[in-house]
Amino acid sequence: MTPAHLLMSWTDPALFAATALGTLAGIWIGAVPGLSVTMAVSILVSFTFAWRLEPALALMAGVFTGGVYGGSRSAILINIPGGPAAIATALDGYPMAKRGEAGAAIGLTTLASFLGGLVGVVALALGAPAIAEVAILFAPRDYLLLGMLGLLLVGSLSGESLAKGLFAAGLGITLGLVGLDPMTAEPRFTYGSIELLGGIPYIAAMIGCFGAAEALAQLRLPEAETVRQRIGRIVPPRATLKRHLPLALRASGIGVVIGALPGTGGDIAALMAYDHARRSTRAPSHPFGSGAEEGVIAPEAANNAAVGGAYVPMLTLGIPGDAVTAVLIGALFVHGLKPGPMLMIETPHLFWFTVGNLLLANLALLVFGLAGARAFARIAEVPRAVLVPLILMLCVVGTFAIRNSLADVWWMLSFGIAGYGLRLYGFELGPIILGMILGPLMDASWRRTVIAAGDDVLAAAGEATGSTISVILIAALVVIIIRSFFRGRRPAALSP
Amino acid sequence: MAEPRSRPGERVLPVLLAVAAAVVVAEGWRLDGLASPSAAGAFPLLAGAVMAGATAAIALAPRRAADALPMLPARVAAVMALLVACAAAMPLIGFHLAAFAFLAVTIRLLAGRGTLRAMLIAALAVGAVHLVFRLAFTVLLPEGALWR
Repeated sequence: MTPAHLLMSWTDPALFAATALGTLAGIWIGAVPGLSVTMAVSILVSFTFAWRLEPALALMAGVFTGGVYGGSRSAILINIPGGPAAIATALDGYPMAKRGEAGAAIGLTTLASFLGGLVGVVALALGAPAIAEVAILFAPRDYLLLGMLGLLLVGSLSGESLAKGLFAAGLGITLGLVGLDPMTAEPRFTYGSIELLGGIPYIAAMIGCFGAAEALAQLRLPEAETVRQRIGRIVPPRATLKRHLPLALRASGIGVVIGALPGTGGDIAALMAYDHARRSTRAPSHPFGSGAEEGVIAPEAANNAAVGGAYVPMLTLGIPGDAVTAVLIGALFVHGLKPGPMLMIETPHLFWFTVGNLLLANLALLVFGLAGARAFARIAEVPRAVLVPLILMLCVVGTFAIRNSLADVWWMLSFGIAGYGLRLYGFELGPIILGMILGPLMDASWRRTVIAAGDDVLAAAGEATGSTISVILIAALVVIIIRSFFRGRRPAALSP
Repeated sequence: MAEPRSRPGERVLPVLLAVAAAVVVAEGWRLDGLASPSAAGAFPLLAGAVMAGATAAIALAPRRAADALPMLPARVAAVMALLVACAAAMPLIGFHLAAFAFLAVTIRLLAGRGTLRAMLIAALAVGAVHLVFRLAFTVLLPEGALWR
């Protein structure tokens, strides 16, 4: 590591501006109900594909960091979370605003997000190099197990049921396998179509699922009535900060761990941290659900800590930590890089650049979050009638821009319309996209594993039990399967 | 107490999912997925099996109550149709005109008032896209066969 790489985005004016603008745009996007961070980053991939890698990553890291935080604004001010990661924040944030404490809620969420973000970046800086060293020892079966782990996690924690999550993951894997088989050059799922031989463009699929489908789903909801809140004192007293610091640190720890698990993200981290706050706080400032300060601090610290956590599996294993890092993996591929353990070895400067860049994005979050508290309050009031058509148009032009291809636009529209339908029936779209990305990796890992074992599945399974890494991953898989089985239906808070 | 209303088409859904799973399994079978675990069809066969198992679980699970909102409100269907029309018209009339028409009509339709306001927003948005994509990123936006 060299300090020059760590400080690259701090010293280069263009990178500094990209990070700051990205964070500002992220807060703005996150604050608008219906605009998700995943949607924004998906569309940004097409905006920045012609840029150098560093400014593109800086802009997207800023949008990611700012967007996760920005979702709390509309949650507090109008009781509509800007994104899934802010669902838990609305539970106590809005009652605080109704009590005339919108400023205090915004101040606390900003400081909690900043602290959570810092903890996430420190965890990334310390944890990723260690994990990358272990990841070099991973056999193909371990990548297969990791892929299964990610799909199972995202399948069990999103959507209406595990079965729907698994179906979506299977469908995503199938879509990811469309085209020529890289090992035997046999066409799979092409049915004689020459256009399908190259596979389905997954960035178009991402923009369709996360952009167009989400925008169309917003039109189904009735227009929310906007009640303008008064914003008073923003920076909380020192005694309040001191009192909440231990909870914020614990919630940040939860965020890092949940964020680093393949397939999970800030929304799950925030809900788990909220649950932790409710269980562990003996004397909250107000009862939970009626404006407890602890109820906004814990989820906000956790969801921003999950950002740094989500980068860990992405950079070290090439496996997305959440939907946004799935899109970022797509962006790295567009720029000719292959995320995974070799990325850390061959381009360590990129890793330290990312660490420094995320630190800068968190600082920008603090500055913009506190200074622009009143200005951002108006953002949540943009009418859907204007917003949704603009998003859809950006989806079209963004998809076209990737390869100057109208066929990609049709793919995007197909995924958007099909995604809208799937959401209605309780299918989450995250497992589909994750399956598309992980499918080819899992297919190749599966075949390498069985070929190495003499085309014998039982022998391959036997070999797996002799490897510590494989045994740990298998144990994690078993635990998740058992927990998912006994949990049954998950709470409706995360359903689409 | 009356049984909660299930989503329209919920009974047909497992049939559609089973067909999708069967298509995947059939492709895996065609590619010798059963003959050798390392064949090109082996992993599709596994994916198809997971889909089939999930379909069975979905079919057997108790149905969830629908929310109070319509599944496909007229305005969502209209916006989908306009979007498809916009993409279809783009090769002929070009990006700028197609995007302007889509935005103006959709904003007017969704807002329910202000034709001039909708046209102004559409013109500003198309101008911004032109500046960002055509001029800043030099993306060749479709010009339209009619104007060549």
